[in-house]
Amino acid sequence: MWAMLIRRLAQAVVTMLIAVLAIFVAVRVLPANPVIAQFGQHAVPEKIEKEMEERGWNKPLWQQAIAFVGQLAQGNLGESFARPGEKISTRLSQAVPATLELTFAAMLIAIPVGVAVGTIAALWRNSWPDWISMAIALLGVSIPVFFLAICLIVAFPAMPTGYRLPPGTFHDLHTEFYFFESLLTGKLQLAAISARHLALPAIALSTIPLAVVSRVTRNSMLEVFDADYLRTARAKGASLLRVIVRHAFPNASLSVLNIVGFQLGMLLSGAILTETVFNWPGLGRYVVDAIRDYDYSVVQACALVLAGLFVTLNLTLDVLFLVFDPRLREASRS
Amino acid sequence: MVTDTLIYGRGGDANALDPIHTDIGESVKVIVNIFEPLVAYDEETLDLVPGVAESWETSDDGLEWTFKLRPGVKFHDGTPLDAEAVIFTFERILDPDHPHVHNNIIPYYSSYTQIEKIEAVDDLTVKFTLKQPQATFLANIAMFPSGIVSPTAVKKYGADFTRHPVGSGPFQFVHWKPKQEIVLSRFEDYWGEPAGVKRVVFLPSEESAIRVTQLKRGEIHLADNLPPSEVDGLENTPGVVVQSTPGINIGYLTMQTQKPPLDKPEVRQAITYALDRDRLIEVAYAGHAQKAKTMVPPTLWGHSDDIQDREFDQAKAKQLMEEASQKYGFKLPLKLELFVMDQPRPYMQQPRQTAIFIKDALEKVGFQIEIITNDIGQHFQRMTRGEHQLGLSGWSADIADPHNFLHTLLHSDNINEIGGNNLSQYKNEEVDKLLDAAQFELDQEKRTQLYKQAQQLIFEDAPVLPLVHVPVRIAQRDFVEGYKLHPSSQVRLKSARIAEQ
Amino acid sequence: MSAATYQLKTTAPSIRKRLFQVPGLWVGGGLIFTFVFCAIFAGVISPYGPDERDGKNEPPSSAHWLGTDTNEKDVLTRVIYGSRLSLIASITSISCAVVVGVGLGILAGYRGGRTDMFIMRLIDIWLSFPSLLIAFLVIAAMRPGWTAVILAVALINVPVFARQIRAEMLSLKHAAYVEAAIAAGASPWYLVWFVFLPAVSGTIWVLATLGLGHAILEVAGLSFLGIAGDPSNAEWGSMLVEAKGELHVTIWPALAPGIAISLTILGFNLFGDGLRELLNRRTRSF
Repeated sequence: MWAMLIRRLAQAVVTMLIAVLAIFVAVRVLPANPVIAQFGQHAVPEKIEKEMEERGWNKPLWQQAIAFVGQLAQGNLGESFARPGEKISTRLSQAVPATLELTFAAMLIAIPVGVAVGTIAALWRNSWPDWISMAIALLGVSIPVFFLAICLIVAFPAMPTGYRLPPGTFHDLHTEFYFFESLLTGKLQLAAISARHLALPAIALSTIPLAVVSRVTRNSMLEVFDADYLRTARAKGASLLRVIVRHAFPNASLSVLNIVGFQLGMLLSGAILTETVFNWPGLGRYVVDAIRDYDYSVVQACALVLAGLFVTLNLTLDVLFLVFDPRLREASRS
Repeated sequence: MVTDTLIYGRGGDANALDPIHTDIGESVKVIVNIFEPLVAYDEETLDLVPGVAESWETSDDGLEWTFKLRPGVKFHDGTPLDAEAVIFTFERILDPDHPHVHNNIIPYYSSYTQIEKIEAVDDLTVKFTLKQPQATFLANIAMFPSGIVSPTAVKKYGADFTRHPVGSGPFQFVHWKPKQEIVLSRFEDYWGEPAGVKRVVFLPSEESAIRVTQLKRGEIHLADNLPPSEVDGLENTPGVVVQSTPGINIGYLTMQTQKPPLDKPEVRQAITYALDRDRLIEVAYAGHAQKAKTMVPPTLWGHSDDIQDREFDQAKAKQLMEEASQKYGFKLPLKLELFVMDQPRPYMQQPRQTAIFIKDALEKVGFQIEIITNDIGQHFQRMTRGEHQLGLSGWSADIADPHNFLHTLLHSDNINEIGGNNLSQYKNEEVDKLLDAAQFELDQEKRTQLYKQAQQLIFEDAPVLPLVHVPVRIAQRDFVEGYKLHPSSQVRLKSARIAEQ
Repeated sequence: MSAATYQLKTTAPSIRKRLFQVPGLWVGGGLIFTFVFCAIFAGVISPYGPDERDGKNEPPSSAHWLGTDTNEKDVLTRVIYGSRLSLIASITSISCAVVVGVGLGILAGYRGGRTDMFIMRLIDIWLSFPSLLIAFLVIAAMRPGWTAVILAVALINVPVFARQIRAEMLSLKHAAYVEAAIAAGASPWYLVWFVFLPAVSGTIWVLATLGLGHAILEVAGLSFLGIAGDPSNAEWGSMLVEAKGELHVTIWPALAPGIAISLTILGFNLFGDGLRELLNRRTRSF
């Protein structure tokens, strides 16, 4: 098991390194030199040179690459081009928790509801509950999250549609995870308020994973129900509940965990689109604004953080897998 | 609901809070509450009244101005506001290479270049010496870029001063979460009467619909730059009050005159004929705007009413384009880029709709338009660099002087990358001469004549297409009292209070 | 007659029989047909021109079945015209993705060894980033616009094709008739054009259909984010952006393009799934 863990870890590190280099190169082969873009068409050459020197952009590429990695290792993501002097890490420390909170909340909705829907569909296979739930699943993957978000706004006019907390709310939270922190530290009133603000965006974002989870749950449950040993067990009088709890759920949970991994990228992409609709101050809005403003240093930093988040979350899931899946544990032992 | 926090909803976020580094309205709204210049505006008019300076006098030749500072004024960080602080402030304004200037955007630089030197007579007296007498000097001193900054804070924060502004105004800075909120709190040691609310939150949201909903729910207390049709609707909403003032502003279309094909006057003229501004006012302003024919608003002296405007004439525009295409050998449709900002301005509450209207109109007479949307800071920065061909722009008066419109927007001195606002890069020596003469002439009658001549010349060259003058309207909850709209569209919240209900 | 075409012939009758047992194919096909029909004949069937102005934010009426939007334009007309940009953008990008992806897949599967390992590692890393991130990098590098969007969507979809085709190649390589062709000294070009491509064509069609659904979603998403160029185009994503600000006045300009996107994607999903069922290929749809 440890060997497997270490291999996964090494893979993650390699992927991240390649990502860093790819992003580094991508930003530097841009058609327009961002420094020149900054100064405009009649820029004074000395000023450009000075700026290039300050940013270290006139050195050979490999030296820059080393400096870049060194900077990253210190956790320094640099400053914004479009808003001189603004530290990117400060903005990210607000944006990343906002995006993560939204993503986690969506998963908290998608997994239990998806499993429930899938179970119901499996139990009443080929009758109307099955058809309805599968039709919903199909719609769930076909309706774009940004359109669904708009529909939710129209359908629930009384719900807040922007921001994470009501304007002008003062609080004494230490992190930017407003909902989770206030919930965990027992500030229930604040938790309720932030939950209200979180509700619509999280529901909108949860639909695709919900549809996928329910479909996967249904299929893996059916797989178990059809297995010979269970038919035998049922014939011998084991209750349906017992079959579900002892056999079907463990099997389904592994499939769900697996598919959640596959869905992470889609979930992060969806989060970015959802944020735009709901004015959610997360990573997505930050990076989209930066692209529109040609703020290359921010695009670079956000790309790195997104890649990092993605790799870390995937790694976490892999580890969970190893811990929970007896088959994999066996396989890695032998 | 009793609250001591005033929440101001607006269409966008500030881009900088250092007074010398911005000319974006959303920044100015915050800056004027934190910083105070030597001379202030009256609460309701553009008259100049004592501010940090108690009194001032000028020499007979108009070259020397002596300001007597109010004793006992403190900055928010406790530093005393004295002659030294004033001199420090102006050294930063006058010298782009000053060690405490950390950004190459200094849009108001040219407004202060007539200052020869500043000296301290004593601790509370400063003397300005000018290169030549300037009609607008005192008004320029009252503009927000010359708000007095705390030297201690500037030295302490360095480049970060723009995110930690420290002045002497009625509110002090608390925090700024970009694109989320800017929070100010009442400065208890303010020299005058302290502010009426304990805290102010500036809340940006680009989507007007969101601000309308929030105002209706009472989540925000004031909402500005709303689409005029929305304001009409809000007028009948219980609990909401609409304030309005004529406004001294201009919304216009800039045409980059130094780049082909807009360097050809015929093409620019075709554009002015192609646009039905009366329809535009219906579509994008719900009728709440006045058609503009010159850059100087009619609410301001010096406005020229003699100009024979080019009325909407699609056939003529088409014909001009066909002639131009033969004369200069370009093919129709002619491709142009139209730059648009992503958030509402007082002179243009619906920039996207305005842009699409212009695009549709121009495509009917032989153009092909691509709309390019940018964040407001980037929008103007890219246009000061001349990257655009067509661009939506506008101006709200900083001071009650045509100089503020004509010189700022059309004098060749203001073509530069440090934030100069001659976006059309219009260069006409004659116009420059007239504007200079008007600036240094002290007789208002003569100045009026000079400005009228300049407006006629500008009209003939058509480097810009003046679109509209817009009344400033704001919707607010009825329990907000004491806040009056200012004709300059500056937002000074000192007297605003929240009434008990 | 080559071995591959012979194989197709033998399975043909059963396909024809099963055609009627897959309802998704018909529903999906109908939706796709409507969509393509709108795109091609937009100029003929839409009641107005895409930029004709006639009254702001009007509710549905007999003159404007779906009302008008904030720019005074007929919503129905713009939805119909909107199918054009979506279709062009998604077909272009998926075609690019098919060419590159299938090329890489065949190359990896056929050559095997180091080439295979190199290509597959590349694909793995490619897949280990959220697709939107790749799109962002491409668009940031090329500046916002339709070319950038098409390239970005193509790049996102390449790995799907490469992976699946390579997997099929691995089993295909050891099929008796392929081994026979290789033993007979067939040139690589002959093998690719007359043996491999015909054998994997079914998979390509399934993946391309599902891919088109994704592409339409991705194109609309990017233009919804405002990084696909001119916001005034009659394009579904841009229309949604415009309508989002007017929701409290009228909902039709938002509902119409949103439903159009959803139905089109649903169409491609149903058709793709149906096609797969029909050809009985084992591919993952999502």
